[in-house]
Amino acid sequence: MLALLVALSLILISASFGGSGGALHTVQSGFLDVLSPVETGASKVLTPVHDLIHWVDDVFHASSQRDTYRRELAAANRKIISLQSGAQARSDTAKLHHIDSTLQLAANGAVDASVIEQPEGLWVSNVTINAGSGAGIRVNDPVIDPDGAIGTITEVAPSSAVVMLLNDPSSGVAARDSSSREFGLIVPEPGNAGALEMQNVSRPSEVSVGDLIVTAGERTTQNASFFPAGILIGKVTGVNVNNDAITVEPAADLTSLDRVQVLTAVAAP
Amino acid sequence: MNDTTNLLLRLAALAFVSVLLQIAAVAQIRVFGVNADLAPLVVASAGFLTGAVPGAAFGFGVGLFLDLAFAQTLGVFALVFTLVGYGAGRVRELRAPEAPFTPLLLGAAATSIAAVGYAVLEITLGATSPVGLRLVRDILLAIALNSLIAVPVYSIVRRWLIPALPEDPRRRRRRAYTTGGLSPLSRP
Repeated sequence: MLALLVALSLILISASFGGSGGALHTVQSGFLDVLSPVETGASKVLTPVHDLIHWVDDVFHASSQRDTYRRELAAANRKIISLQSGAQARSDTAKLHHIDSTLQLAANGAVDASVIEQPEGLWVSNVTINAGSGAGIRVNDPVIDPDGAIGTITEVAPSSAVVMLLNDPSSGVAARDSSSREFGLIVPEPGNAGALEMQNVSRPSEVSVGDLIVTAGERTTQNASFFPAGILIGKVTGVNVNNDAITVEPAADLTSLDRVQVLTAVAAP
Repeated sequence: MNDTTNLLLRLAALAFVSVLLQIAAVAQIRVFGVNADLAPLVVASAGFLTGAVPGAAFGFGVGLFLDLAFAQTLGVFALVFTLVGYGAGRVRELRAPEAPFTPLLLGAAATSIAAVGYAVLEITLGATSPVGLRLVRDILLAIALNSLIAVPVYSIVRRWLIPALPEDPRRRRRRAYTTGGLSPLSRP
């Protein structure tokens, strides 16, 4: 019996394989004609069951799809961050090089570096950079970023260095109002870690809000840091003639520094 | 109506309904990217309950029905399911397994034989679908899915066929003993 059925199957396969006509195909198409309405009816009857199972399947599918999209979104975000970081780094480098060429700082042995440790709190005004004495950096070297002056080197290790920012209470940089040419000393504004103050201005009434403050190219004391002249420090945001206080908003965001440049060979005046 | 005629009618109805259900509903539902396949489960269950030769004949009928319904090369499903039905019947005749998970193993084995057999025949006949990890994965998923529904399908087939099946001598003995008959050991 088994042999007969197997033989019959093989005969059917041989007879129907590859042919386009013949009695078998006629039987097959006739069978389909008969079966189609039955199939359609059964499909309609079973539609609720079908829909229910589809619904369950869709729920699982949606869940796995959501997970896939989340992974894709995370990957896309990482890519965007990477691209933005790259673009920002290129932009910073270009700005630094522009400052170098404008102020002819290239001769001052500019060393590019990245900040590896940001200020840890509101009252901490030091950052650590990834270049040190190995790159020729020494204590008191001035440090700039693409937006302007940011501080001075205070400690040096072979491959890292600490930068004291302009808003540190110990900081003091000789500065000049680029419009009125008034001279002063840039120090942190008391009670406001994010702002600077220009002190010792002989004629504060000459200074106006919106004036740009740049480095003066002079030392404040014998051993103080020396910034070349003309590096932007910030913009005047307030002038109080009575108590001789000129408030300056730093040009550089001292709370979020990335790429900086240390001027290692500044020629003393 | 004698038992044989009753059994034939029930098998024919089972074949018709299961193929119709497969075409109209089950074939359109994809779970984890594959379809469940009632046909090998029904054929294996029927073969297991009725024996090798009736199982082979039932498998041939169901297979031919599917060949006609799917408008494909005639005889492919018929050959595959003939072997599935015969194999299931032979398992019962030779080993008579009664473990509760027998239907599950039977379903998995029947689905494996059907899937692999169908793939081999189609490739032999010149199907162009690539043989690769995707095909292997689909076959494994189909086996897993069918194993999940094998027990209820076997249970339904058994309930449908059991009134027309010749009584199993072992079952008759057990029933006599459990419905008040004396144990052979306690008879005088």
